Parts: sequence; structure tokens; C-alpha cells
Amino acid sequence: MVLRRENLAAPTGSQPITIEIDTPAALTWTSRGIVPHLTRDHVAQSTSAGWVHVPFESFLERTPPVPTLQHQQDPTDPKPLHTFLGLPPETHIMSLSLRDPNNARELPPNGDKSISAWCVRGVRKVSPSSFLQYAFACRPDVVVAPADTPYTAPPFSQRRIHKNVERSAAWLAEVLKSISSSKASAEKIPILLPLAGLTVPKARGAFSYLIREALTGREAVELIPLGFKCLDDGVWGYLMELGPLRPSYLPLPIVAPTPLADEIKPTSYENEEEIVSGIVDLLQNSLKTLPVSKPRIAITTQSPHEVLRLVSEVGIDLFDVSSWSSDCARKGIGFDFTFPAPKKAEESSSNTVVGTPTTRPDGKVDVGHNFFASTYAHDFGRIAANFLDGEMGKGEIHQVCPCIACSPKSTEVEDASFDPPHTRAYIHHLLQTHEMSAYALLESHNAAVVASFFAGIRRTLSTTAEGSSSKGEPNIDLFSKEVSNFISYYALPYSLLDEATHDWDSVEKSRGKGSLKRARDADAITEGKESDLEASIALGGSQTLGELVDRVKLDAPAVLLLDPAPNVDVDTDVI
Amino acid sequence: MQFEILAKCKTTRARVSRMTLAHGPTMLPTFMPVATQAAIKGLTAQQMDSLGITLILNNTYHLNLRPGIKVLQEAGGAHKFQGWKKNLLTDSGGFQLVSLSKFTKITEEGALFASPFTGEPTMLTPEESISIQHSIGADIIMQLDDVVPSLLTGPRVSEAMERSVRWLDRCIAYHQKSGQDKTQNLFAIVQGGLDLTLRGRCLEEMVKRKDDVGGFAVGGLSGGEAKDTFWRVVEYCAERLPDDKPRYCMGVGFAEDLLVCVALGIDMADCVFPTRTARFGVALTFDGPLNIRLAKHHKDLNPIDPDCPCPTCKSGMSKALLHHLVTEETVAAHAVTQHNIVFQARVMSGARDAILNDTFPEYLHTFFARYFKGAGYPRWCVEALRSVGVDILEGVENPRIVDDNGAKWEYAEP
Repeated sequence: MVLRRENLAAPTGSQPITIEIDTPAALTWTSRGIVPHLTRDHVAQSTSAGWVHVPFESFLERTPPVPTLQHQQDPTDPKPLHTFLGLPPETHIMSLSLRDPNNARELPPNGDKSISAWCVRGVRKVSPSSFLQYAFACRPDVVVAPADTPYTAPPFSQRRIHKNVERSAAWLAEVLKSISSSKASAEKIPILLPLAGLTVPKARGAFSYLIREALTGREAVELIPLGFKCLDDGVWGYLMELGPLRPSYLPLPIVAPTPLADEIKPTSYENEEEIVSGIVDLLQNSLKTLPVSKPRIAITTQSPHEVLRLVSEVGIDLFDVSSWSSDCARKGIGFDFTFPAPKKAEESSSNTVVGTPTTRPDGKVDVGHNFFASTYAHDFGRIAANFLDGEMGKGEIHQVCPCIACSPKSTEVEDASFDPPHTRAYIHHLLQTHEMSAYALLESHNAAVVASFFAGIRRTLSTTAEGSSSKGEPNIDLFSKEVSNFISYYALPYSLLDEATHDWDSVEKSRGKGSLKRARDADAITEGKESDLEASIALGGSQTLGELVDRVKLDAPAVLLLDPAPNVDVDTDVI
Repeated sequence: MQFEILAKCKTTRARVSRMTLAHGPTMLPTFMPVATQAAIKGLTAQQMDSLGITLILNNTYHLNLRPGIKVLQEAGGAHKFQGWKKNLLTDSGGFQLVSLSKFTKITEEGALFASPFTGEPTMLTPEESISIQHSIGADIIMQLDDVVPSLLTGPRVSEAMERSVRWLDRCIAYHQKSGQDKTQNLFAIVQGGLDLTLRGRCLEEMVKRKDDVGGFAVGGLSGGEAKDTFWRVVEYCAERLPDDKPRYCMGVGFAEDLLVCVALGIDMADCVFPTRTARFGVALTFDGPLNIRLAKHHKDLNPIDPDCPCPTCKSGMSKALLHHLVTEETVAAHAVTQHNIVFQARVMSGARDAILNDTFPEYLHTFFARYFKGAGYPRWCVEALRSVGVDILEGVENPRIVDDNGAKWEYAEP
């Protein structure tokens, strides 16, 4: 499958832009407009698919929102949001939504005319039309129609689901009206429609029916002259938010508490397969009456296993996988999996120097490594056993991981050769010392592994029975076989993520935000004992030194803190 | 180590030199960014290389704690461990023993402290410090010195100075016996507090050992002393240090301090300031520091400095976007860190070019006029530069002079 975007929303007379994205693929999610942890020079080196999604809500902190000023400053710039965020329009398709479904936290209910959005200054009520005005100023390539997704825990009442369907359809009509009646061609932005109906199969089916139904009443009067027979005529593609479809879906309170180890509960994934089956069923209900020719995008997938089922059973084209890929990077997990899963023969021939991920008691293999674990302290291998590094070059079985950790390269000299890969021991050290470079390396690596995973899916789908690649019908048989191989070979990522979260939390507590205060508090408690300790050192040792060790481990208070601590964990170095 | 002086300023004591170490050449004067725990915070070794940096600093105390010497030895040294191909300098760990541990006791044998691993009382001797630095494998290593707070006065200061000389001898002996002196270069650290008599005695002793060391550092400064005292100590030391060895002033990182030090004959300096201040959202520019967190930057769509070649400015990343990200996303910290490292490098390469072109006094003139525009010239800079024959006030009508000790800072408008 090839997704082609030709000159979307480009002003008349400008050079046509064609960006082809082979699907199924992963899109790149952004947080506050940027790829987490990666600077622009790193993003430019990335080989991941050129679709970037930007949730707008963080920009609501200022009125008018700052990205809209870019258009004011230079009205001739056809792609002001691309310019603002530093992503070339020639290589990146940019979609824009009001809310960030990955940043789910409990919000006040939406109204008939307004959506509750969240930014660090609090909740903002935004009407569909004002969001559209922002979108017109930003000129993304695709805009996500505002959806009436409730940010409260399920189950949802029948009344709520009814509202969800009604409002989503009414807001779509409003959006269609503004976009289609707009005179400026740059404002004719393709629309992605979030499919409503929440967790009720019938309601999902009803929403799809509603948008395919011939227009009537006021909507007919307003929209038929603009060329629409039904609402769906104005829809370019469909968006599916998976978060609210999970029974475990629990939006965070508006003010998120600081995570502490005793609050972290192990994720339950006993019936994960059933849950995904439920999601598949819901999505199928939405899609069965909708045209297959339009792109389908799924937001908040939680494992490669889920992705594979959504590809084969729902036909999803584009995936947001950031909720596991970025979260894993932040928790110190480096991915090490491939699609198709390795065959037994490949395993034995693989490089024995680089260890493979942990095998769980049920015989399944982890999709990555928890580099917080002390077993990696002396491990000088590259991150992933399933990939080669840039310095080694191409291999017969394994692919090269092009990320900044496995294929590091200085841009100072053009055509510089690759440096040796950053090692597991180094990443372990960076994580243990709370150094932010670890997150950049792992974010880039995980995105590269995900990109390769999707490339594997596409390769398998286009492989004919004889083994050669063809552009014909997807090879469903082979693909299904490889999907079940993958699912029986790899463990779901939850145990790994739980373990990593636990380790991450202990380092966070001793060296992250607030650690200096905790150390000072600990100091205050032991204050009375300090003179004894000092005396004992002078005397050459004593048993009470154990307490001193704990204190030293907590890092002594830094001197020369010029500013109050910011919210990012950047405040904990010592000189 | 090769040390070759390429040009000397005809007015001041500034010079341009090329220092060639085991991992390539570094042009001096230079500023060394600090990678305390084997990483410039948030960046990769390749990013540092791409910025054109050729010499960075690691802290021995921190590396000894984590990952530990055993891991570094297994990795084949700190260069390989962190993927850094250019030059590296490590300190002796003595400064952190004093700044980070209340429990350190200095004896003639070494520094006694509680081991963070076992809690056992542990002795860091000069020999041990050098041995650790041998395992780390930095191109420049520092002697263990007896560090006292900069503001301390009394007999402890002279004791510390004299002990630093005795410890230097032990460091030299150990270093030479190990055979590592072929690839690693030991620097002596001049101590003596703020007392020029003590500094003089220290210099006299240490310069006698000049054939046994790769270079000299001026230590014990940047600890809260008055700027007027600071520059006089630097001036006194730099003048008496041998011409044919690099001179390193420890803990200096403000642009104005760097340029005064260069004019006084200093070749190298290090400080966490540019990288730390970046993480708090302060971008350094030739017009003074910009506090990106201030609301006044929130809709400024221009980069920090349109003339700056750093990846942040070159990509057009606006102050408005940085303001939106700062303290919320680590990317803001990384982006401003890249910028600030390049700013420091530009200040120093500008100085080198000016010295080579024999225009260093003009460079100082232009830099100070622009950097302190509106804020006034710090008196100590004026006086320090006058001592080496440059009057940065020359030709300036009604110059405003301030007696501030601190660096220039950007505040919210009232």
C-alpha cells in the first residue's frame, strides 16, 4: 500500500509536493511540538516515516497561540507550522489535532460548542470554529476534526455515548462548512475524522452510518451546494483513538502526582488478547460501512502485538506507537525485536557477543532490554542483538540499525565514517547517573526499530509465494503465519516495562527532580548524628558509616544553583 | 605533547598556540566544556564533535563513583566508553572531595573520606589519584592538590599550598614510574589562596619542576572571591608561569572572565556555567545572556542569534519555540546547550583570530562595548585589561562603569 500526498493544501502556483509513505507505517508523535529528547540535528538524521503529528493544545497557554504568529509574521509562508517547528515541508507531512490523546488526564466535560483542552496553565475551552481558525493559521497538511472524546473513566453512560456521536457529527459538519466555503486554497485542508461511538459497537456503527447518510435539513441546505452528498464526502481519512477503548483506561487527574515506587502497580495484561479482540471488534464495527480507500490511523497502540492484529484484522495504515516507544525509551528500554520474528536457525548464527533480550518463564522473549539492570554494567555490546551497527556495515541476516546510538556519526566532516556504536554499558551508566543523553539515544533507537518493524510488515505483505517481491495483492497467508510466529515468539512488553519503571523510579527518586530536597530532609534527620560520624571517620571507621553511605548515594546538595529548579529533570548535577 | 606558540599579541600577554595531544590538536586559547559524568548533559559525543569541540573535561571523582574504574578499564578507557575521539582532561578528584563531602580529612598522606561504595574510610593519595586518572586515560591529567575554600585565610592556606607542592612531587614520581607520561600529560596546580606572597612561593617551587609537567593550572579561584582579587591573582600567576607550557585557569566560564584571562596570558579554562545555565533556559550571546524563560521572549520568532552557526540557530529554532519548551521538554535544554557551547567557542576563536591578526585589543574593545551595552563596563575588567595595556574605555563617550562582581544577567522588565 502506498499513501500518496500530492500538493495537499499547497497554495496555487507553488511547486507540487509529493511525499510517498509506504504503509503500514508509524507516524512520529510530538510533545509540545517536538520529538521528545531529540534536537533538530538528530531529527534530521532520522530515517523514520515522514508523517509528524502535532497536538495543538500545549500552545493554548498563550493567546493568540504562538504558532499562529508565524503566519502573521510572514503570510506568504505556505507552511508556517512546518517553519515554526523546523520540519521541511518537502519531507514531512504534518497533521494537527486539538487534543493530545496520549496526554490523557481527567478534564471537565465538553459542551455542545466547546471542547476542554489541557495546557500547563490549566484547562482551556475551545470551540471547533476557533480551533479551525488556529489550523488555518498553521496550515498543516491534514487536520483532525475536533472529537467529543470524554476524558473520564469508562464505562460511559448511554447518554454520554449518544452525545459523543451527535456532537462529533455536528462538529464535523461545522468543520466541513468552514473549510469548504473558505476562499483561500491554503485553507482547504484535508480532514481526518475521529470515529465516534466509544465502547459500544452499535454506537460506532451508527456513527459511521450517520456520516454516510444523505444530508438532510439545515446541513443539506448548507453543504449540498458545496458539493457534499454526505458528511463522509468531506473526510479524507479516519482516526481511531484506542485509549478510551481499553477497560483499564483511567485518565490522570488534572494535576498528576509525582510517581513514586509504592504507587506503581504492575500492569495487568492477563487478558490482553481479549482486550485487543474487543478493540478489533469495535473498530470493525466503525469501518464496515466506510469506504476502504480512505487512510486509517490508529492512536495510542500499546504493543507491537496489538499493531500486528490491527494491521491484519482492521487494516490500519498508520500507527501512533509513541505511547510505548517513547515511554520505553524514557524508562531505559532499548528495543531489540524484528518482524518477522527470528527463526531458530538465525538465532544460532547471530552474533554471540551481543546478548539477546531476556526469555520469560513462558519461553517468550522480551522485545527489548531494560538497561537499568545491573547485568548491563559490563556489557560492551551494541544495543540490539537483532541489528548490526553502522561500523560493521551490512550483514546477510541482520539489518543495520541507523539510529544515533548504533550508527553514530559526526557531521563535522562530510561523509565521515561511522563511529563505534554506543554500548549497553554506557547507556546503563547514563541511566544510573540520570544523564539525559540516555533518553536521546534510546528514543532514536526505539524509533528506528519500530520503523524497521513496519518495513518488515510491508515486506512480508508484498512477498509472493515464490519469495520475490511484488506490487500485487498482499500476501495474507504468509503475513498471518508471521503474525502468529511473532506473537508466540515475543512476550508482551508489560513485564519489561514494569521492571524498567521500578528501576527508573528508584534512580528518579535519588537523582531526579526533588532529590536535592529529599537529600536535605534526610540531612536534617541525621543532623544530630553527624558529629559522631565525623569523629568515627577520624578514628578510622565504625558501623554507623552505613547511614553515611546512603547519604552520599543521594548526592550531596549542589552548590551554585543559580536558578530555582525547573520542571525538567535537569537540575541535579553537582560540581 | 607538542606545544607550539603561533602568535603573541603585541599589546597584551595573550598568545595563540597549538597543543597536540594523543587525540589530536587543540588550538589555544580554548574553553573546555564539562562532561562531568562522561556526557555533556543531553548531548552525544558525535554532537560535540560536530560542534567542532576538540577538548572536553571529565570529573575523576564522579567517574570513579560511576561507572567505576573497573568498567572504564574494561571499556579501554574513558574515550572509548563515551565514544569521544578528541582530547580529554580529567581533574584529580580533590576539589569534589572538598565540595561534595563534609567528611573529608586531609592528612599528609592524602585525603581521607568515607567511600561511597562501602562506607569504609578511604584514602585518596596523590599516587592513587594519578593511578585512577591513568585508568580513565585522559590526555591531560591533574595533580592531586590540597584544596581549601578560596576565601579562607590563615595558616591553613599556606599549609595547603606547601602540601600541594609536596603532592606534586609524588604525582610526578608516580606518573613517570608508570610510563604513562608518554601519552598522558600531568599538569601542576598553583595554589596559595588570594595571598600573592603564597602564590609567589608556590610558583617558585612548581616552576622548578617545569620539565616534569605538561602544563600549569591556576587553582583555588572562582570560589566567591572579589573579581578584583581574582584577576590580580591570575595576572600574578600567568606572568610568572613559563612561556613554553600551557596555562589553565580552573573554573572560569563567563565570557568577560575568559577574555580577561586570555589577555593576561591564560590558554585554557573550564566551567559548568555555559552548559548548566543552558538547562535553565539562559542563552549566551554577544549582546549578553538571554533568559529565554522570561515572558518577553514568548513571541519572538527569531533565533537566539541569527549569525550563530550552531545547529539550534542555523535551523531557525525561534526564541518563541524555545520559550514554549524550556523547563518542559529536555530538547530545550539540549538546544540551548549546543548554542552555548558554540558561543563559548566563538568567543575564543574570535580571540585567536584577533591575536593572529594582531587586532586583539580591538576585539576586546568591540566585545565589551557590545556585551555590556546598557549594563555598564565592570570596573574590574577595565582595570585588569589596563594592566596589560588595553583601555576598553578608549574613545567611549561617558562610559558607565559598574562595581558589580557578578556576571551580566537578563531580568524581567519591571
